[in-house]
Formats: sequence, C-alpha cells, structure tokens
Amino acid sequence: MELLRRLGRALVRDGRPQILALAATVLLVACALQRPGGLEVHRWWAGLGPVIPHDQFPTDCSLCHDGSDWNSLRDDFEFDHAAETGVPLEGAHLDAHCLRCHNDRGPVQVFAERGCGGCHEDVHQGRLGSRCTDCHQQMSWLPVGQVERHSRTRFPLNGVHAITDCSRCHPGADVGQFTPTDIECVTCHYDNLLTAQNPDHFAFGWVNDCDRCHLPTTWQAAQGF
Amino acid sequence: MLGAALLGAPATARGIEARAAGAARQAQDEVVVDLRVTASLGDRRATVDRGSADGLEVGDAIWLTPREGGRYRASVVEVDERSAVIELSLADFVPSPGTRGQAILPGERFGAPEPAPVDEDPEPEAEAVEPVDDGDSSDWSYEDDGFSQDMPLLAGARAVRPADRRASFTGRYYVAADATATSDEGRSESFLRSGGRLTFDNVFGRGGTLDIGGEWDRRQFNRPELDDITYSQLRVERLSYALGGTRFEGDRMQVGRFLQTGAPEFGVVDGFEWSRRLDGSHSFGVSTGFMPEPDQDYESGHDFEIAGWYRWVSDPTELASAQIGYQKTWHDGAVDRDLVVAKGHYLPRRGWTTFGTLWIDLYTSSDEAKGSGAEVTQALLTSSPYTGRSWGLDLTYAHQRYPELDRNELLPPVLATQLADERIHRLGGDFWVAMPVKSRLVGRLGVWEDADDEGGDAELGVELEGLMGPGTRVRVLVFGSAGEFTDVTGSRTSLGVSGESLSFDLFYELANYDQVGFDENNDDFVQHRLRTSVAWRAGGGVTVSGYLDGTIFNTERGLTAGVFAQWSF
Repeated sequence: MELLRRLGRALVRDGRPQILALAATVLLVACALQRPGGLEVHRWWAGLGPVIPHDQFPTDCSLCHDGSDWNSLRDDFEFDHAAETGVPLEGAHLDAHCLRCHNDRGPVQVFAERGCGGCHEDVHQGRLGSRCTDCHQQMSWLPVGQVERHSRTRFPLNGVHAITDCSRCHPGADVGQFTPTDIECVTCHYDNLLTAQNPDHFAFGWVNDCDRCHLPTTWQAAQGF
Repeated sequence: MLGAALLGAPATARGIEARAAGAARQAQDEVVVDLRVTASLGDRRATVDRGSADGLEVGDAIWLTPREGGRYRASVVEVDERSAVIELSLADFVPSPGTRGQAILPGERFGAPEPAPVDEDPEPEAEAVEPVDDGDSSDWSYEDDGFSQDMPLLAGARAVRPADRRASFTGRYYVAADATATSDEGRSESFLRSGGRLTFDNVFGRGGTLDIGGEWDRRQFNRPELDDITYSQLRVERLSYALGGTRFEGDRMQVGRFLQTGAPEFGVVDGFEWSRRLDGSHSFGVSTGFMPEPDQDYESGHDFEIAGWYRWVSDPTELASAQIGYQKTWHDGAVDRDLVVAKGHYLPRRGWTTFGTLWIDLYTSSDEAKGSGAEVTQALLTSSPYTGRSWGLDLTYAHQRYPELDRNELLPPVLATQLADERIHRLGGDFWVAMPVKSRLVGRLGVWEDADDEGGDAELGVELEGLMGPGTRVRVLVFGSAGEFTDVTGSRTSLGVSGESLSFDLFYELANYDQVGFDENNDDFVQHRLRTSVAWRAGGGVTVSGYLDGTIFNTERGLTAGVFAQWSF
C-alpha cells in the first residue's frame, strides 16, 4: 500500500503550512499556560560563602573536612547524592569530582536545568539540538543505535549503507560535525561513476538517477533490473 | 561551620542597626528582619535567632522560606532577648535548622534612638601627655570594621576563590577501535582512535583554567573497485587558557584553540574571546581568530572570523533566555559569511522545557547562488515536558538549507543548483503513555519535506520495565518510514539490563526495504540486524564498552565490532 500512501502524503501536503502553524500555536499556548514555578533563587554569588551552601550540613565540620584544610575533603569522604539532594548521579557521573559541577563558573541548579549542555561542551555546536540522550548514555558516551535513528530521516540506511562508517558521508563526524550531505547518489559516489567503464556510464549519459538500475544491496554491480 | 554559614547570609536589618535605621525611616510602615531557624522543638514549634533585641514581640507574624520551596507562616509565642520561639500554622511542615525566614514588623517599633544624655558638668580635659617613643612601637589606631556589640563573636564563612584552591587537574583518556568485515571480498574498514582531555585548574596561581585536548586517528578503507584509503592523523582539538568568568569576576577571557563559550554555534577558533557578565546576569562578548576546518585535519589559517553576541536572561535562575549574535568571516582574505544566530530557552519547573536556535545567513549580490537577502539556513526547536508521571511528549522541528560558503565546510561539495534549491523541513513527536504493570506505550510520528519529495516515519510499541528481573527493560515496536528513495517497514525488539556498574543490551531488527521507482518484481529486500553491546563501569573512573553488530541482506553480510575504553580522573 506504498507505505500508507507515503504516510498520508506526509500528512497532506497542501495543508502542511496550516498544520505547522497549528503545531506551533499549540506549543506556544502550552508553554504560556504552564506555571513557571522556577528554581529557588540560587545562593551562588560572590560573598555568599561556599559554592555549595552548607546551611543544612551537620555542625561537625570534621565529618567531611580535614581539620587543617577547609579547601579539601577527607580521603574517606562519602556523599550519597541521591539521598541528600534528591538528584541521583548515574553512570560516569558517579566518579566525577564535586567541583566539576559545583564550581565558581555558575550555579549548578541553573546548569542542571539546561540539561547536558549546561555543564558539557557541545561539540556539535548546537546543530544537533539539546536532547543529547537521544544518542548518548551516561555509562559510556559512545553513541549506539545510529542506524535505527537514521530511518527517521529521508534516507533510511539499508543494505551496504547500513554497514558503512558515518564518516564516509559525513566527513566531519570525527570531530562531531554532521554537516548535511546531499542524498543524491553521485554526491558520495562520484569516484565510482568516474570509474564505471563496463558499460561506460558517461558514454551512455548515465550520470543521474542511479537508483533506476542500482540497489543498495550490493557494493558494485547493478542488480535485479 | 553551621554558625559560620549562618553568618554568611546577606546583610539583614537587625537589632540596634534596625533601630538606628528606623530613625531615617519614619515614613516607612514596616521593617523586615531576616532570621533563621536554629532548632525544631516539635509540636509545630521552633526557635529562631532573633529576639526582643531585634524588635520581635509575642504575636508577630513570621514567614519561613525553606530551600526546597514554599512559604510557611508562623507566629511568635515566646521572646527572649536574643531568640524567640515560633509556632507554625501548618502541622506537617517541620523546618530544619538553617531555614530562612522574615519577620515583618511595624516601623514605629523602631523609633529614633533616644539622644545621648548631655553632661551638664563635664570633667575638665586631662592634661595632654606627650607620647613616649619607646623605639619599637608605632602609632596604633583602630578602624571601625562594622562590628557592633549585638553581633556574635564568629566570622562569616569566606568563599574560596579559584586562586585559593590548590592547583589540580582533571581529565580523561580514551581509546576506541572499530572494524568492519563484509562478504564482499577485499572490502573492509577499520578505525582506531586514541585521545584525551586535560583541564588544569589554577595552574598558574591566578585561578585560570588550562585546557588541552587532542586525538590521534588511524583509518583504513579497503575497496576492491577503487584505491584504498589509509591515513593517520594527530589533531590538537583544544589548547587554551581561560581566566575569570566566575562569581567573583564577571569578565572572562580565553585565548588559544577552543570552542567559543558564549556562542558555540560560531565554532572553534584559534584566537581570543572576551565576555562580561552584567548586573541581572545578562552578558555579552566578542571573539576573533582563525577557524579550523571542521574535519579530521582541523586545518587552520584559511578562515578568519570576528563575532559578537548579547545574552538576556529573565532572572538569575535563567528561567528564560534570549541571545543574538553576529559573525563575519573571511576565507583566504575574501569576505565569506555574514551569519546571525538567535537562540533562546524557556525552562519552567513544571511545564515544557523549550530550546530554539536560528541560523540566519545574510547574502549580498556577490553570492551568486543565493542572491542578496537573508535566509534561515538552519532552525531547531525542541520542546519537552519537564516531568510527567503518566505521559510524555517531545516535539522537534528542524529546518536546514545549504549556506553559500567559500569555507571548506560542506563536504562533499554541493552544486550551485543544490545551494539554491535544496532544503528540508522535519517535524517529529515522540511520546509515551504509562500503562499498568510497569509498562508503557511508546511511539513516534514524524514528517519531512524537501525540494523534491515528502515523507515521514512512524513507530509504535510497548516498553516493559522489570519483566525479566530488576533493571531489565524489554521494548518491542513496529516502525515504518517513507524515505526519498526507500520505504521501509519492520519491527525491532530489544532487551536491556542495567545495573550500577554493568549494562547489557541485545537488539534485533527485521525490516523490508522497498526501493521507490525500481522494477516492481525486484524492488524490495529483507534485512536482518542483530546487535549486542555491553558497558562496564570498572571503578576508579574506568569504563569499558563493546559491541558486535551484524547485518544480513540478500546474499550479503557485514559484521562490525567495536570497543571503547575510557579513564576519567
């Protein structure tokens, strides 16, 4: 059924501007109707004492600090972050130094509200959005499931494309830059076109519409036509 | 420590100060006295650190504002000179020691202090005595430091400055290896990378941060039909020193190779960035330098940029923010790009967290493919419920066009017609709905449109938590996608087991791919994908993960294996 008539012609092409406008309106109304709530006005600014407010800590300072040095913690210091703050630490964050998040560069509550990007440098330079956990996990930052995620785009990865390294089409992938790549075959396969001599593709003028003869089920020969 | 922290509170009107100030506030009706809870006595009662010396009287209203939020009323039931007992209106709120509060007292209670009595018959002044210089003492003088007799003899906690802290470093070192073997004879890929990041704090004793990061890559593609590709690359990704930008120092500067902090959208620079935080937490900044090309070479020296930005925030908690920035670049000395980036966020505690960014390119008549004018070359809008017990929804809108650039950023290069016409809009929504017995319905719907076609994708499935033991998660879903050249329908099944130090995943996908426009009898094929992955947090900052990913379609096969190990310290 041609995938439900191409998913309802992508939700009725002629009505798309109205649908987008409606979606944007719903979004804005939903935002406007929410009670902001907001954070407690944080106590981070200069002159207000330690980076982490100590108001409700035990009065026995030596539970956490060495007696001679208030700037460092005891070697056997332990802190149950989930129990004491209500914010559980997971994965690699369990081993992180306190000052990596609680520091002089900004209030941790404000950082946390922004999500991963509050503390972590966004090597994608904002171009992949703010939901890092779509691709990354806290245990290991190595992304998994990229092929499945690619099926949400206009170019689902199948056949040989599903076994090809990302950098073959996204040359900036090694440094986190997934610049848009045109999906026409020749964009990535120009070298293959130049060497296609049997038959001579240029001689026959076969320089476009490669998918009339080639399926992505084989690395080289045309198949099945 | 607790007492010290209490005294580290902001300046308050208290005691004699408040009384003295009252003289100048005759016209004011009320005086606010800040206080703290010092002990909870049970039975809705607690003590506070202010008493009659501070103007409190029995019956006065107190408002407590605990850190976790809310505002609770209490009234004074007993008063001593330096403390008071209060009784709370609500029985279910027990204030912990340190909880802040305020008493709003009538202004007339703080009338002008009585003038000091005038001595009608003063003693005659003592005869002046010449100071004796004993040779080892200098004149002694006393400067008033604001201490008054109603203050406890304890000092407030002085916040540690970055320059006070011991020099230290944190960082990570990692190594990763991936290899792919295929059923096509002579075709394989391998990738080995090793890198690290070191952050030195206060390394020069001035509270600054030295940041060093780099990576070594070795990649190999073996291709029967073309020349093999092999390269090794050592890349310095970060080498910078940053100073300031702390709660003690609103100015911040960074020099070296770094990703711009104020506006990461403007990219990595070999240069300089300066920013200033203003009153109200607004900020602005500028930067200049050469921009390394965004690929594995990181070649620099071709593209020069200047940029500036201003960021507005609604309040110190940054509930809402809006930022606009402008970047001008030159490629090999010729004017290249005029880019405006506008972005903002709205982060309500109970509501929808929303982020949005616009990249707007400004073209002139010299930009032949685009023509003069402004064009949104990229837009991103995401909105998600902050919390949801019974449902959740994430919405994403993305739009992208190719910018016209001389800079070597668009790889592979695109044609002039593609620059002019190519575009894509994507709108997607991911949702989940809680169901009985630790399960939930999960799904997604997305649509896209580009210059030639339109399509979309849909997913629907069930996720079961704890079905096969603690920490297990099973997800089964069906999916479909209408792509530009391919339509796909299929199903995915995954099993995940997560523990505190070990997690394991098993994934299987069965899909039918239909090639749009191909001959009807040969236009589809079935593909199987099986993947298993494991991640282990070994302790001491070491994590190790690995995966095995197999793909089978028609008569072809491919197998990819990878391992990643990282030590964070």
